[in-house]
Amino acid sequence: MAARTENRGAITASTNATTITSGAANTKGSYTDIGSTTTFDYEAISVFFGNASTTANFVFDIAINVGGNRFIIAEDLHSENLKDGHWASYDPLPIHVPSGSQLSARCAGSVGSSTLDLIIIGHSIGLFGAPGYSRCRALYTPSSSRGINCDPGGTAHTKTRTQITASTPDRVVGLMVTIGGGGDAARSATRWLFDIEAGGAGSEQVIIPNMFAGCGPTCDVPPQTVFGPFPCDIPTATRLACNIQCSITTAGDRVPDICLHGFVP
Amino acid sequence: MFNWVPHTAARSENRGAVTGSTSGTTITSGGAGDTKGSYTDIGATTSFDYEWLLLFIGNGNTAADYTVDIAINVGGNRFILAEDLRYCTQRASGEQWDIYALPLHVPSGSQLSVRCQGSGGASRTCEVVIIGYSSGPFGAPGYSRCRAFYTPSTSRGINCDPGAVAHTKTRTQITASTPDRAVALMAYVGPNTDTSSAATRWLFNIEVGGAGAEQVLLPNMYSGRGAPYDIPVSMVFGPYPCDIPASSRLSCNIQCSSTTDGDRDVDVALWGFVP
Repeated sequence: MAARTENRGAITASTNATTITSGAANTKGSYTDIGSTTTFDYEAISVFFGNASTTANFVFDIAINVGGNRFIIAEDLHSENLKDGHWASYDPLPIHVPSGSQLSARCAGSVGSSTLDLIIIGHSIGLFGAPGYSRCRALYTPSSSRGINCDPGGTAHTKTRTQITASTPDRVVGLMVTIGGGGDAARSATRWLFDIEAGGAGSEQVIIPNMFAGCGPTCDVPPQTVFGPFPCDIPTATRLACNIQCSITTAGDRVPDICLHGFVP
Repeated sequence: MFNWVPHTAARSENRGAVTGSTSGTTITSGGAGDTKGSYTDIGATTSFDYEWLLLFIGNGNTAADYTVDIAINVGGNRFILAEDLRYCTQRASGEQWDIYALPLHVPSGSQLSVRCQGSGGASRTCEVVIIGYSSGPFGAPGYSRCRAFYTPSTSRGINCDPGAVAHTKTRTQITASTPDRAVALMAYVGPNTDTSSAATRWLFNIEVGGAGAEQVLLPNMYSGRGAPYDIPVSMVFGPYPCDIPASSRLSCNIQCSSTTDGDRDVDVALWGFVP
């Protein structure tokens, strides 16, 4: 099905996006409006971000303000900028945004008062003509403005499991995975295979088997960081984990960070 | 209208992961530059119908551009599901991983296989992993195939030059005529072989329509690059909802923060999903 689109946040005069500024280190700054209010209902949004002012990790919230009430529609999305020059996108996120909403964003950075530039494109329908979900919840608690460090351990090619959340706050029907450098920005060539799992300790079930990521010694952090969203149906109060193996055993280099997000129907 | 069921869970299975070496399955380009190699089977046959699949491409052995075909083989008949997907590890060997989310139907019992070509010489290799899902997002069924809406040039997309005036858009045709109706559109923005550049930002529209009568499908998408990686790190965009008739002309209208020739250029590839 066809879709209308509109852009919020682009600054064409300087080939740039709208700048959001973090607070003190790992503390959210104030909200910044992203363009003018939406002119039609969105059922999906694409989020483009980059041009960070410093090498840092970021998490950012996207919110809408309708009639003075602010509501976070996507929380703690991650931007891995520990190396210069990292642009990425979430495209598209299946989230409903009512017509007439003021989109806004705020961020936390691992370096205080750092900035990140951001654009949102709204789509009048999602893929397959589907309506958007109500919101995107973070299924992890950010640490130093990044995800949960997952250490594959000192044995190459052998999986080690790390809990990402003990209990999901909502039922989710779409799951998104973001990988980052785990705070390490100087590593040798590295490959990972990792499962995302649901279930109590010792009885985990694989939801996504052997995702493949890696990087080399120039980029030093995984280049493409966003995976999904994937179809799923995960009940409220579910434990989620990442079971990961690595091609190298060097401490630090072998450790990425993982964020999980869920879409609430 | 699809008969889809919202909010459904999905089975998944992996094809191609080599856990013994934390690798994917290696595919090798042809005996000359920019020539497809032979197909390599990716794991065992599929054990259920896929309606959605993920393709991970990484660990290229040479700093090169690649294009990749995904095919299925059912009863001896090979059928290309997704053609000329881009993979760019131009910055250096083993640096880039590209991930595609592809809303495609794959029948149960299919043998997935992949082939590739690489720029600059023979026998380029890269590794692939595929994860199949029994339903797409929203429980949707997959589309029939993913068509390339560009003709690869030296194993990359179409060179789009924003021109010598900063912050001003210049349009480049990506295809004169799409071969099929498409109901989802996907893009890839690569560095057009430039791997040493100053910090660069781009805003670009994807447009449909005849010359002089283009309509914006995707307005002001945002990308950029900076040192030390020098090429865009995340180059896959979409798929996005759309409805583009067969025989449509598609173009990219792009502006750049830099006016340095070479640095300001990108290569753009587009694909459409056929219902």
